[in-house]
Amino acid sequence: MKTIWRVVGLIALGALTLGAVCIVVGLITGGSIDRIIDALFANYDVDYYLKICQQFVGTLF
Amino acid sequence: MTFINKQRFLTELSKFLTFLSDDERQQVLMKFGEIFDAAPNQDELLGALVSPLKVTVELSRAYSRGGLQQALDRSVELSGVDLSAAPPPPSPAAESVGADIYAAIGSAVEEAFESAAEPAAEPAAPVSAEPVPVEPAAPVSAEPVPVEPAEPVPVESVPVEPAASVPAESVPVETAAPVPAEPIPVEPAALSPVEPAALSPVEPAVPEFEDTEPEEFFDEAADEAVPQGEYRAKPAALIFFILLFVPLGLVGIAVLLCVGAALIAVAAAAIGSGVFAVSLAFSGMAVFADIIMTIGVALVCFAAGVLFLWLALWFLIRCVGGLVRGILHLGKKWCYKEVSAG
Repeated sequence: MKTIWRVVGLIALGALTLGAVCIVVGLITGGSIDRIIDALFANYDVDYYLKICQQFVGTLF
Repeated sequence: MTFINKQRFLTELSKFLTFLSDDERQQVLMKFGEIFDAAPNQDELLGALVSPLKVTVELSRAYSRGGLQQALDRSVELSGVDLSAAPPPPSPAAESVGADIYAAIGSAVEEAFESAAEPAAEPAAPVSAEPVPVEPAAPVSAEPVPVEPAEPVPVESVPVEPAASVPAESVPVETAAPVPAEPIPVEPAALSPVEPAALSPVEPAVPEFEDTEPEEFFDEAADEAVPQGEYRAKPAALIFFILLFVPLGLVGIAVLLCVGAALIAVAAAAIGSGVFAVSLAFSGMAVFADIIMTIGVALVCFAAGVLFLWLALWFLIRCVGGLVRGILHLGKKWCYKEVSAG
């Protein structure tokens, strides 16, 4: 169990570090969060999924 | 060099074998003597035996399991030396000499321990302060006896006798005083002239036991030691326990499963978001910096997903399994009574 914790922690830490490096490099090289969000909303119907989530939460509470 | 190491090993081993009687200890020492004689390389043998303390622990275990024969077999097993391939045993005369050496080692260690226990009491005993009446029939009264007879005492001679013969002669008390004043030099000469350094520093405290064995050994021993008793159910307590704890246990398991399911849902959402971000990065992006950033977000989502997924599995295994085991243990404790096997 301890070994699995160690392996999972190492994998997660490695992926987290690599992701953080990628984000920082993207920001340094001229990346824009607004542009990414625009591309997200243009390619996927995110509003539809947000409405479904809100309805699900409303039925629960 | 090797001879000294062998002697030191046997001396130390003799110190530690306190759980054996004198005869058994001498047999074990003789067995190790045979092993050392049969070993092709004594340095390798000493390396295989590791230390006298470790050998003592092994012998103690073997002795407790099967007595002296088991301990002797364990000695050969530890050394890894094939005694059947060894040269023929020495002649009875040589064997008796070897036995004398081992007996001398054993008695020397015992005397060393005794002298360490009472350091100042013995020297005053042989000579009294008041003048001893001289017996005219003493055989050694005619010739002057040297005051220091204890210096070069060989192994074969018994060391106590010269000191005891001193007060019998008609020598003034002042001249006899130096003899008991230094009784210690007599002792190491009688113990082992080959290696006084191994015997003179008397070690009253046995070194602390350092366990190098894996824990499984002790677990097995503990399992063997625990008697398997019979259990008899208490019907009323059993019915009450089932009526009370089965519903409670089911509710607890359901709650824990809900928590585990929530954790799994979070993990699935994180991993799904990562996949979603990767597909977005390679489908709708035109700027390289944006692609890099999106992949970074995907990696962070993957990391969180893996972590939550394992956390959910760990939670289910430990908590749900622990709850079930705890309920069963409690039921066994409350509802069953141990009955002695007899």
